[in-house]
Amino acid sequence: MTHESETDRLLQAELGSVPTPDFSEWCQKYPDAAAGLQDSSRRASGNAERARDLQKGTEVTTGRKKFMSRMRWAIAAILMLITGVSWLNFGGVSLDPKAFADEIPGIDQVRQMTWTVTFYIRVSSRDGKSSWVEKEDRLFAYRHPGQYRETRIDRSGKVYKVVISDHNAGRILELQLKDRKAAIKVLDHQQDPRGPFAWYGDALRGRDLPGSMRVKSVSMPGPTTIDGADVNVARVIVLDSEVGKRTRLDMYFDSKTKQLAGTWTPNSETDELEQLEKQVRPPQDDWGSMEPLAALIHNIQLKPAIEAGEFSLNAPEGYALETIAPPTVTEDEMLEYVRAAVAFNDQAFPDSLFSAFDSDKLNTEWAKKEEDRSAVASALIRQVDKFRMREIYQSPVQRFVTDNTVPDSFQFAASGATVGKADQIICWYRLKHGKVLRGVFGDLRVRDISESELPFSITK
Amino acid sequence: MPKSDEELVNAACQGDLASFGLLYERHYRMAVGVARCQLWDLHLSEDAAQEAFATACQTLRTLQNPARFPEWLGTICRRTATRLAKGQSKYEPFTEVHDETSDTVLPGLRRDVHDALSSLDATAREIVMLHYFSRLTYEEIAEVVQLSPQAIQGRLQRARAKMAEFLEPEEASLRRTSAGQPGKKP
Repeated sequence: MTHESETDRLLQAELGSVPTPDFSEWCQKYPDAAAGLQDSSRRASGNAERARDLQKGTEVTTGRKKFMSRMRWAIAAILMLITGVSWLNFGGVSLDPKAFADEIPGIDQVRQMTWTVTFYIRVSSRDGKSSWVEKEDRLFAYRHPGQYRETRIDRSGKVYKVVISDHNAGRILELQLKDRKAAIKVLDHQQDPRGPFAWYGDALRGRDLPGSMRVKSVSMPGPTTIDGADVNVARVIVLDSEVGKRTRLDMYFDSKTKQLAGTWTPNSETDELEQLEKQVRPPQDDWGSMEPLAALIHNIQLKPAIEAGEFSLNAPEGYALETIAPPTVTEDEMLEYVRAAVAFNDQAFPDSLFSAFDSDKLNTEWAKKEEDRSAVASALIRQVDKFRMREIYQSPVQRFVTDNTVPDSFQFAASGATVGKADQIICWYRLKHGKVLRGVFGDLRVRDISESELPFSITK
Repeated sequence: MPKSDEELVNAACQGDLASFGLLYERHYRMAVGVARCQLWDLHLSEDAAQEAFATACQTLRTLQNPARFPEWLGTICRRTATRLAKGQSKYEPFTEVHDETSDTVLPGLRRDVHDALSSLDATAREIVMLHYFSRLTYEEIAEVVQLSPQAIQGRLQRARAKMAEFLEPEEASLRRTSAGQPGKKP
C-alpha cells in the first residue's frame, strides 16, 4: 500500500461522510427564513401586481396576517411536539406573546424570594498546563419593592461580604465581614421594579428587552432535572446588537408547580451544566488564571423566612462606616478611553462607542504576559483597569453620557471611519451643565459647536 | 435534465420554496464541509451549515449573479462558522491522567488527522475537506473556492503529500528521516 492511498484511506475513515440533508427538518428549524422567502417575493413582485395589490390593499394585509398566523401555529405545534407537554397551561397552541400569558410563579408578582447563583469558573494552573472547573456560590434575597441582599462566599465556603441594595433609596451598603468595614455608596444602576426575574417574562412573551437586547428565539429543548427536581426547559437566545453577542438563557420550570426553578446561562452556547459539573474539582491554592464559564441560578424559594431588618442600610454595630461618592467619568477621561479603544481597533471607530472594542481580541491580549502585549493593547488595558478599579463596570462612555449629558442628546455618527479627520464630527452631545452642545471630531478633539455644524438635524 | 443553480435561485426568488429545497439538497454537503474546516465537530458544523442556508434564504434576492450561488453560500458558511467557533471552548476538559499519546483531541477526530489538516493553509484544508468529507468532484470544489479544476487537483496533491508526513506509518517515517527526507513531525 502506498503512502498516498494510506492517507486517502485514513482521511476518509476519520472524517466520515456528511449526513443526508433533510430540507423539511430545516424548514421546521428556520420557519421564518422559509416564510421570508415567500413573503419577500410577494413584496418584490412587479409593478402591475403591486398596483393591483394597492387597489385591494386590505386583502393583501389580511392575507399576510393569515399567513403569519399559520406560521406561528406551525412553530408552536413543532415545539409542542418536541416537549410533548402543555406545561404552562396556555390557551391554544400558538407560541405568540399570549403563549405565556398566565402568571408564572417566580417571574410575575414576586413579593419576596431567595435564590442561589453558582458560578462555574475555569481555573488554570500557574504553569498553564492544566485546567479544571471550580464553583462559587452567592446567595440572594429579594423583598418587594426593590430591596436586594447578596451574600458572597469565598472559595473555602466562608461568607466574606454582604451587599444590601435599596433601589427606592438609591443606596447600597457593603459590609466587609473580615475587616468589619461598612461602606455606603450611591446605586449606579436600576433594577426592574417588577422584580428580579420579571424580564424573563418579557423574553418569553416576545416583548422588547431593555437597551440593545432582543430575543432571537424561544424553544423548548425538553425536560431535565435540577436540584433533584424534574423541570422543563425554555431556551431563549438573546441577541445584543450593540456588542454583537448571542447569549443562551435556559429557564427551568418545575414540572409540577410551574414555578421558575432556575436558569442556566453559559458564556459559550455549547457548554452544558452536566458537562461542566463533571469537571468540577475542589478549590486549589496554586492557580494562575480564572475565567467565568457559566452561571446557574437555582434553589429558588418563594416563601422564605426573611426579616425586613436583613435589608437595612444601617451598618451593624462595631463596623467602621465610610460614605463613598458615586464614581463617574469626566469628558477628558472619556476621550482618553475612546482614543485607546480606537488605537486598538487599528485606528477605526467602532459601530458603537458603548462597545468600543472587540472584547475577545482584548481578552487574548489580557491572557499574555505584560511584556508580550502590544503597546495599544497595554494602553487600553490600563484604561479598562482604571475604570474597573473605580467600580465602573459599564462602558466609560456610557457612564459619561448618563452622568454628564442631557438625556437622548448623545449621537455617534462615525461607524467604521478612521481616526484623524479634524473636520469630521464623530459624535455630539449636550452637557447637563449649561446645556452646551459639544462636538467630538475625527482627531478626537472636542469643542463647543452650533447646531448648524451637525451632519444632520438633531431633531432627526 | 436537472435545473441549474441559476434557474433554481431565480425560481426561489419568486417564492418557490421547493426550488430552494433543491439548492439545499444539492449544496448541503459542501456547506457542512466548509463549516467543518473551522469547527471540526460534525454536529456543530451541521448547525452552522443550516444557519448559513437560513441566512442565504433571507438574503437570496441580494445575490447579483445566481450562477455563483455555491461560492456565495460558501462565504456565508465560513462567516457563520467563524462566529460559532468563537463560542467554542478554548480548553480541553480536565482529565485525571494526561496521556500524551492519546489519539483523541477533538470530537470524532484523531490527533494526527487533526494535526495533518491543521498544517494546511485555509484553502488547502477546505479543498481536502470538500474532497474527502463532502465527497465533491473537482469541478464542484472549483465552484466554491473559485479555482480551476486543474488547480484543485494540484492543490490536493500537494496537500496530500504534506499530510502524509503526519499520517504515514511510523516505520516509514523513520526510514524517510534516516534517508534525509522529512519525517513525521513531533
